[in-house]
Amino acid sequence: MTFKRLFLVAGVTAMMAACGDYSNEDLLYMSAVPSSSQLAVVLPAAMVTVTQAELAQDTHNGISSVNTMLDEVLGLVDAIRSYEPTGRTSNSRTWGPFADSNNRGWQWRLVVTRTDATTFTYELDAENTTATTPTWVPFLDGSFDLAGGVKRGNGSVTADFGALAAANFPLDSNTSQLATLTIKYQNYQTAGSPVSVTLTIMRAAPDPVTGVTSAKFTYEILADGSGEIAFTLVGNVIPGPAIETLDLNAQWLSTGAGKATLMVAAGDGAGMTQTECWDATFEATYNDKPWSVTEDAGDPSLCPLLPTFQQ
Amino acid sequence: MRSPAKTAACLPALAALFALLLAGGARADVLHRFAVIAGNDSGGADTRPLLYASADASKVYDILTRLGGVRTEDATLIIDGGASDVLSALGKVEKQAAEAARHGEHTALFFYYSGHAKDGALRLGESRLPIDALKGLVAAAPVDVRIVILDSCRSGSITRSKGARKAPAFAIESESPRDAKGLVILTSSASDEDSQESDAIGGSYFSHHLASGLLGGADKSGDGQVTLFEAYAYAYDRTVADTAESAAGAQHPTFSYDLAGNGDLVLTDVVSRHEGVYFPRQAPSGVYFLVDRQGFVAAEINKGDGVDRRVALSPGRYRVKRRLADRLRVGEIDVPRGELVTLEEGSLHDAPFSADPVKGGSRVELSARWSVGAGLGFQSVFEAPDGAGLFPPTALVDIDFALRDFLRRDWVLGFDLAGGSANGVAPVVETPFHFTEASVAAALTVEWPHRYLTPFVGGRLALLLMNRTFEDNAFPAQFYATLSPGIVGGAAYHFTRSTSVVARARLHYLLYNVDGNRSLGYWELATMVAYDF
Repeated sequence: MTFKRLFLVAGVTAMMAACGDYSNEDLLYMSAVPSSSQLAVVLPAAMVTVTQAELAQDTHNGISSVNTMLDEVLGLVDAIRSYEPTGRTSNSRTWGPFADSNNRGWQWRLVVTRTDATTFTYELDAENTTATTPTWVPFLDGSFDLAGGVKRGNGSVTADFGALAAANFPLDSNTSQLATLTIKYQNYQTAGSPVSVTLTIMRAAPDPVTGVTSAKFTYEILADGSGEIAFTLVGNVIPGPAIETLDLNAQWLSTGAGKATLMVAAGDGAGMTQTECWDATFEATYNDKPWSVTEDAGDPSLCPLLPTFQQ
Repeated sequence: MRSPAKTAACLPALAALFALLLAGGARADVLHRFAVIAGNDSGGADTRPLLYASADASKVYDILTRLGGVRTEDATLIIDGGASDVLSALGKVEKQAAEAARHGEHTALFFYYSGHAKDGALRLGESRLPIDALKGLVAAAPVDVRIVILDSCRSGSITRSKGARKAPAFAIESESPRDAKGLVILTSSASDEDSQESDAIGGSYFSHHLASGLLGGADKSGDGQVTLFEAYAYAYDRTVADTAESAAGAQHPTFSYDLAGNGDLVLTDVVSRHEGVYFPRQAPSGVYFLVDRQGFVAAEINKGDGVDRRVALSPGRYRVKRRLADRLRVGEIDVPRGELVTLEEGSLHDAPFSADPVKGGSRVELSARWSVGAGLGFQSVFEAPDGAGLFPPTALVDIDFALRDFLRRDWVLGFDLAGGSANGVAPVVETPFHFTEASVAAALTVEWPHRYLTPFVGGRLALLLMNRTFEDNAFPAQFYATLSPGIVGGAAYHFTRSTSVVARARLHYLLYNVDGNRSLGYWELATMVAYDF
């Protein structure tokens, strides 16, 4: 065999033998879909004690709720993305279908599409393979706009729990009460624009006790580690017959020291506002609670000096 | 030029030299013998290295000093030397011979050369010694008898020179050795023939048969002394017979002389040392091979029916083989120092041809050999279009295995393993990653061995296995495998007989087909130490 033929055979063999998922482009498409850890709200960790400031604890609880919901929605995407794409085109990547090991008969598929040089869209669909006419049901519908790099941009994603419910997907007791969950985020920071996440939940039906139909969380974090979260609480917080709607706005420094205001938007005591500050150990340093003055303590001068947030 | 794997034709010359040196046989006291023996595997540019020229010269030196009456202080062995070394040695002999002549001694000069010759000159490495000049120097040497033996391609051209005449094909009758004076020239091949080497015998055909003859195989008269014409006749017959069916064609040694007297000369005395192997008269006739510990044929004796033979082998253990039509007769024999051991037919046993102790079994088969090497390399994928962003430059540890002369002479079948790692940054996502690579490959190269430097080029096919993991597991690990054809070239520098330092470069094609089909390439540089078994 001549060398020429030898190389020809080698080249053809190489064409047939090359395989793998080694791809920079795949990384680009993966980066367009946020992971739950990328959007998770981070409050500086501290030992939680029984004497923890009341609103600091509410803040922790609120953050925990946000992160749990992010995990619910994006955790599945994270799992799917841990596999190599099963399909590649010049402007898309497809993962799946993968069988849902927790819900027999259902499978998932993620398709990420590059619509132009700076914009990606993606869709996570579920399909009931046991149905008479299996149909892909859109669950997640998102987009991401690059802003000077694949790690920087603005995105949004909506989880349509209602569509899954309509297709008889076996939702759990929490998610079955939801219609949609929308996340909007900016994952980079400029001088006047911090990293931010807004999470909006629409209920499938009003809460039978509170009548609430929606909830909203907003979260910002600055480059120095200080942050802010705002969300609405509903409950019978103030003694009286009415159910209160309370807007909680908490801000903190990178040390953990922070300040929160809880304003009664409706219900008993409407218009009143509680202000509480805490130190890096989350112990209250100041509390002004109009509907329970016996809990007032400290001095407002002990509140930390906080930066200015946008919201 | 003498061509490898073929035959040589210096027997007549060597025989003549020995004859002159031993003129008077045991009466060596009246002929003071000097010898200049040169062997060079390299013939410089545009010649292919020989394999056994130096070994042939060493063998002749051993026989001359052991059996040919040449004292070691009167013999000069030049291995891989240049023309200046030869001229210097001849000059030294001139002085020694002149001194001996002043003391009334008869003198003889034996000159033997094994190596390349081309365009009318001996090629000693990069230097050249014109044959006419050599002949003039030898002719002018202040000695009574001069014998020149050239084992090189087309060496027969020297015998066409003025002042020499063709020998009448072994018809010369022996006369008084003391009458022999003048010039004798033996060449390994005719003026239009190549001289051939053989891997099986580990030397040129001509020098091999000449040596075998001088060890006793050529002692046709059975008197224990091998004369010039006996040696020449033996070497001529055996060389022509062995090369008759070779690809290069039959090789015909030549013999010419210009002697004042036509007397034959004794070259070696195989009786005086009483050491070696004795083939008794009743031993079966045929060709006997005596193979040394290294697997090379120390002597090849064509024993006639009803005659005995002494073979003056140096002490050692030898394997003996006689080839029959349907089988071999093989055995072993020890030659103690100072003893002549009789080979008994009963000590041999039947063996199949597959048990042939002669390397290769055939005169032209190759003796493959392994080598192993280890070293460090560096690999880098070419930038365009984005190769470097995919596969970062990587340091590699290499282990090479090579099988030489297996497919054909100077072809090397190689196998290598390599592994390495590097850190990189995925450009599109600016994420650091750790890259690891392993490869297994086969290569086929052609090399041009020289004494110190052996350049090589060839082709290679590698299976590349590549993997990368991302910092903080930001992305799942990625893997890629492909076959990669390429070319390889480099050179090995031999700093000992079996150890060399290798510098190597590779240029490979790399198919990348994950994000669409792309033809990438990469280069590799490596250096390693190799050991030849």
